[in-house]
Amino acid sequence: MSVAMMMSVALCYAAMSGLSLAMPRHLMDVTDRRLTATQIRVLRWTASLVLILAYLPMWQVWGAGTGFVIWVSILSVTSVVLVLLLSYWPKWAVRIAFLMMLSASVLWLMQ
Amino acid sequence: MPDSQFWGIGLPTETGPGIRLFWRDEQNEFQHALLSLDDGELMPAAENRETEGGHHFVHMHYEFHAGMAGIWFVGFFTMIMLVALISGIIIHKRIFKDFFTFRQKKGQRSWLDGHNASAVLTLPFQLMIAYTGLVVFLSIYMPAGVLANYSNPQVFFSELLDEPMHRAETGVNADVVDLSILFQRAEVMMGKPGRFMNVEHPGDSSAVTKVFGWFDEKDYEGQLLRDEIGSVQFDATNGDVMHLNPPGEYDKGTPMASQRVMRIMHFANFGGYSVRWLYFIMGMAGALMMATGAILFLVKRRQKSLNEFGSQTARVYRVIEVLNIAAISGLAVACMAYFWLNRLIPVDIADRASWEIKGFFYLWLAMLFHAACRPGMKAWFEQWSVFTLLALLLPVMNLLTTGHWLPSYWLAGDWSSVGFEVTVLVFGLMSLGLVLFLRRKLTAPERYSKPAKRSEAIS
Repeated sequence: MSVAMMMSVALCYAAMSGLSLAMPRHLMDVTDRRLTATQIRVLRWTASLVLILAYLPMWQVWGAGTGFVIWVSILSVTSVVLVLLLSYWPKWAVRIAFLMMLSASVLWLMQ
Repeated sequence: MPDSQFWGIGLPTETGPGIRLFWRDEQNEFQHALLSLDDGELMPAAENRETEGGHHFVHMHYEFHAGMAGIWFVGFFTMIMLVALISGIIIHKRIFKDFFTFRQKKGQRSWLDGHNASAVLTLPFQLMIAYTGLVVFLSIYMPAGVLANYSNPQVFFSELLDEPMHRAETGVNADVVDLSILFQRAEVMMGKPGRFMNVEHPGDSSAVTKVFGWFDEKDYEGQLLRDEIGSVQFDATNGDVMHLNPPGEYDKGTPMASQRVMRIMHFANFGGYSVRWLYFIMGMAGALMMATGAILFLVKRRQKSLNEFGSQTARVYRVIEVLNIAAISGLAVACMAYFWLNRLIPVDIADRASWEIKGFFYLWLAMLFHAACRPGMKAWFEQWSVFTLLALLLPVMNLLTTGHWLPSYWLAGDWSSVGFEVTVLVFGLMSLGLVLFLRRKLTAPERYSKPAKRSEAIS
């Protein structure tokens, strides 16, 4: 797996977990805290931005078309993993999301 | 091989060391052999085990080992899959609200969640793979347009692709010229080394030979519209060039290019192993979608019979249950057993590959009978137990028959074998979890059905 691929996987996972935590019913499984409407909006927009960021390394390496196909595939697979984690180990789903975000940043800085 | 109507010869590649020969025998059946690089002799059976290998799964998934009838059979059900996917999206009212939802151990609720989640999250893939699968056989599934305008479809394709037509046999004897010279001429014309050569109707005055250019999978990585590998076609009786298809950009027009892109997307031929792994996981999600959907149908009706079939309803439900078991766990057992057959069928047996396929179908049939003879839950439990044993013991059997196991594959850098062993073990462990779950359900039905009902009343 190339660095670009790892980067995209990490960002896709982080983005999807952000989007899921913006829904109260999934946040409930993880923490007792409640988010305000503004916080939810910020979370949603940030996650969407990260989602688009996840496409960039794929675009760079594979080109617009092929990159898009692979990006959608990564999105699907990471979402399946996320849903399983959210269901069986919700706390770990979130910890892994932070870890993914962190490793994506490290990978980006290393380049 | 002397009476062959068609034969081909392939140069050694990274995964296929040795010279590969292909021909159609007197019965028009495809045959193949491998020649040693050292002395040109046939490789001994031990080094060239006749096996259907992974081709079995590939052929089964588009033609069911039944030729044209199988292609139509698969096409029909692919069409149904497309209809089911689209109607499924329409009846799913909470796609976005339930996007990340999977509530486990809640009976019917969980089956529905599993069905929804596996389908919705991988929806782009499921739609793509079903649609492009149909497009691969475009000219078979939708022949009317061509047949209405051309008495012979071959004329259409030769015009479309700008290639000479297939030459019919004349019955006039004619010798084939020295092929090695034609091979070298083709390499010069294409400007790249050749990889494969075939001859059609050797000995006849209609003899044609075609040389294909060399290609490395890596050169095409990232290309959804793959470049041409290049080929040259000669009249094999006098060496005249009939057609040159130069390597490089694909230039057969937009419709053919669209089909080519869809084929490449279907075959996952554009991103190496990482893309194949993504496809594998999404494909498994698709299988899960179908399995959970089929099971959900019965779980729902067990709670409350809909009496769709009048007085026969209970009997029809039982038939559906048996078919479900055979199609889900039975098929899984047959697939895993196929890998055992691959190692256990004697190497020197005639028609070994066809025995592997027969074994697969006999075992699948046996699973159907088993499902019909046993009560539902017990049948599930027993078939998944068999699957678990087959999967977890497969590496052991491999070690006993070949002397290889995970660490030795790892040290040899044989990554596809490492991947296979690990995947089989993962499937074995997942199935072990399922078997333990089913056993608890079988031994203590009271304890497990009650909380499920209570939580359903809440939700």
